[in-house]
Amino acid sequence: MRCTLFLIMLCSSLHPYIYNDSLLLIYAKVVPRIMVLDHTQRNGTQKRKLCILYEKGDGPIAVKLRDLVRQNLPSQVKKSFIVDISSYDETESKNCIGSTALMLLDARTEKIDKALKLANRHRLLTFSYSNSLLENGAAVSLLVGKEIYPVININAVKRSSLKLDTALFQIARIYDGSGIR
Amino acid sequence: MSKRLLGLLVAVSSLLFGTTSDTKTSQTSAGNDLIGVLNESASIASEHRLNVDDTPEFVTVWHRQELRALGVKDLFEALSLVPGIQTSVMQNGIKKVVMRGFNNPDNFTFDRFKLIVDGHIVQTAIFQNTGYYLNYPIELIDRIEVILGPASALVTSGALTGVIKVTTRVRGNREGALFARIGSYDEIMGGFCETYPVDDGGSLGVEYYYRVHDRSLEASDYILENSSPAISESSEWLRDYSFATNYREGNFQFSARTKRQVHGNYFGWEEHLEMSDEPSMANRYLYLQGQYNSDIGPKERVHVQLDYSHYKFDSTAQSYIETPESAIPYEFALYLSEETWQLNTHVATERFESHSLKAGIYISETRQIGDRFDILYPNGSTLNTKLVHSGLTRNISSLYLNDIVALNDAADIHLGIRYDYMSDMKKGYFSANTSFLFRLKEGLSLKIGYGHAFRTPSWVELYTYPNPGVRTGDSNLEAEESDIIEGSLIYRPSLNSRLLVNIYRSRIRNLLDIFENPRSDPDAPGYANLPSRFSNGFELEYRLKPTPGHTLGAAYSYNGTNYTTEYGTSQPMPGVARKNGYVYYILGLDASSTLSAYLRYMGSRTVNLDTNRNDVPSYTTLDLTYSFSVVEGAKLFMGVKNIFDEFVADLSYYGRHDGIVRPGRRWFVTFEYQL
Repeated sequence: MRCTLFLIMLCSSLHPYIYNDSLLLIYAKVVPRIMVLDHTQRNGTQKRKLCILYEKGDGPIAVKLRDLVRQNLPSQVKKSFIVDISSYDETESKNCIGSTALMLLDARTEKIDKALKLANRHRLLTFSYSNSLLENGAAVSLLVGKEIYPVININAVKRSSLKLDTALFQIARIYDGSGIR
Repeated sequence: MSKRLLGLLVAVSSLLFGTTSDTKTSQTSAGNDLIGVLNESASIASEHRLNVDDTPEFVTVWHRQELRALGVKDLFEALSLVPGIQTSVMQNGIKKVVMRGFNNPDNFTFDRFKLIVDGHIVQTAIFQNTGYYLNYPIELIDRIEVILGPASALVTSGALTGVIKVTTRVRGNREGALFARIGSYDEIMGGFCETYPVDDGGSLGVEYYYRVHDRSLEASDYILENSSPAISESSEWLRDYSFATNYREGNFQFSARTKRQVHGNYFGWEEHLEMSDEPSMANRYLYLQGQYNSDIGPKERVHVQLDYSHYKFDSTAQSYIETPESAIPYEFALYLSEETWQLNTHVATERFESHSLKAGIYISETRQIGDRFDILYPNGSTLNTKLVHSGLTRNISSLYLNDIVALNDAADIHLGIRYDYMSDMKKGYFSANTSFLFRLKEGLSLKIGYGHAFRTPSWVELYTYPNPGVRTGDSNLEAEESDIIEGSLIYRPSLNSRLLVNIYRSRIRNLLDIFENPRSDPDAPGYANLPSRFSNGFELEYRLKPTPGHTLGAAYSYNGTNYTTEYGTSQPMPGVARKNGYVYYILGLDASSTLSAYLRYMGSRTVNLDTNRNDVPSYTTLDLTYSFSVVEGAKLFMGVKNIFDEFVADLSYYGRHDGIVRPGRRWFVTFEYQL
């Protein structure tokens, strides 16, 4: 019975999400600064807008991240930067309309895939909290070690025809589908 | 007028012809800004221990979020998730933490590790015990860092086998929360933490919790023959609270915390049930802390910290040890108190290229305040005496130096050295920690380290008077000293998996333990420095996050510690399992609810062979925890621990029983609301 119970749990394909407050703060500081180095031309977008996508149970995490982003915006974009939140189920809702980037909190794979398709269609820069989402096609994540590096998924950048500043490529490390270089 | 016109012309020409140049400048500036923020973020990651695999130190870190998902309720339960740590409860309710097998199976309970709470070193001299802090609730903890191995180079005497560092929410992420819990054995707990802004950019953090339960376990086997106590169950009731505050403004920070825990005497000090459940053990620890941090140069930072603490131990108990034939216990009461001042100041500098250097001074004074030991015999006679010598003080004066050297991209070194002069020992001690980190290739790192530490005896071991029912101290005792050589391989084959392998060999020489031989002579010392004991073993830790949210963790420890008594008996360390481990899995049922399973195995534990008892049997327990969001920001955690009601026991101190029985299946429900 014990083994059966354990196997049932191992075989489940659904998801809980755990976030670290310090890592959220780091993302809040880094993400807007990477967005400043995104020069992709998009139709009808004047301001930089970040949309944080979350699973329904993670609303407070999304709110916390949104507030942290607002508190830590770089001075040069403070007045022209919008940050909003939206659940994955309402990805195409008004909250996300006009976004230039998506911040992907953890979610089920099908929801991540749907958000990434949307990002690809509108040439949006995508950031992922879990760097394992680079394997799913997210464009940028953070590698936390002795130093902190943005990791750029070069395949995702090409696929969405994103124009990122060369300065970012000099700072970041590159994920090419097989590993980080 | 002409200057204004010139200015206007420059501005217009800049707009017309300087756009490209300005854009480049702006981009360069944005790139520099990003580099600055990444450096700042690296400091945050380092401070909050997000990158321990990439530092040369041997540290294990657990954050609240995962502990909570696993149904962990307090610090004591969390520590059992650290490979290399084994936890147990003694017959009188004192919680014990054994690191890498160095148990003192016969001893009262003198910690061989150091506990640090929010930067405050919990410093006592009478028992050197911190078990009363271990039921601190997980809801108030931000993270727990554990250094396994000698670490007195970091925190002075006492960190013989390791250090436990707790950072609370009120000091860590300063997030507010309101929580309440009910559970088996009438457990009720409630508390909150919150940080409020105050004038001039300061903030005031407040934290409080109160926890009670009325646990009792069947214990008729623990009734002394011919005695007739009013109870036949263990007396494990608990009343526990803590209140803390933290005020910070600019470079200054002030903290205060008081924690008090009172509980019944479980199975009795002598492992015979007392006549009622009234006798109790109370520990109260209060500390005040002031901290000042400031930049004193372009790359220099000074830290000054002054701590005051007051410790009070009140205990009443009943014992048959002096009157076994009458089967009527005598009663004794202990009232002990002490206070400690600690001044710790250091300067950190990064002036020297590739070095992160810290040099400091530590001074402390521990002073005995109260000591009363009363005995009431069944015939009505009394003895009012003291437990230890009077007028005791212990001064420590230390110098320390720590340096982390980045040799190149592939290697870092940590060097730590410390000298402590202990006034009551009239002697100085050196401690050292050296470790190397080699990044062998992407995803593969190797750490190698050596450590040396010491622990001076507690006042009980040194200065206990010859009195009924207690062991006499020996003021000639030497400090015990430990050494370790360890290696650690960290393998990260992909973005979402990590394997850690630790191998170690350590030794404690001049080992402090009880000394039974002269027991026929009550004035003869009951403690002695014994020959060296050795410990070796390995720990495996694996973690996999296959897709977002899914977390699989597993750990396995093997420990081979020898135990040599004064009789010359050599055997595996009593009370320590050679093998233990766990597997956990966290998964979700939908977007707002999660289920976790935590399967824990504890191998059989040998008893002292002199007691002719059976080994404490192995056990495997399974805990399930279900959590879901009630409303936005509010979560409910429901859990069942030891769901299959496995028999769980810890080592019997006196070897009178096959183990100290611990609770079987039990449940809890915790509500937490994020403020």
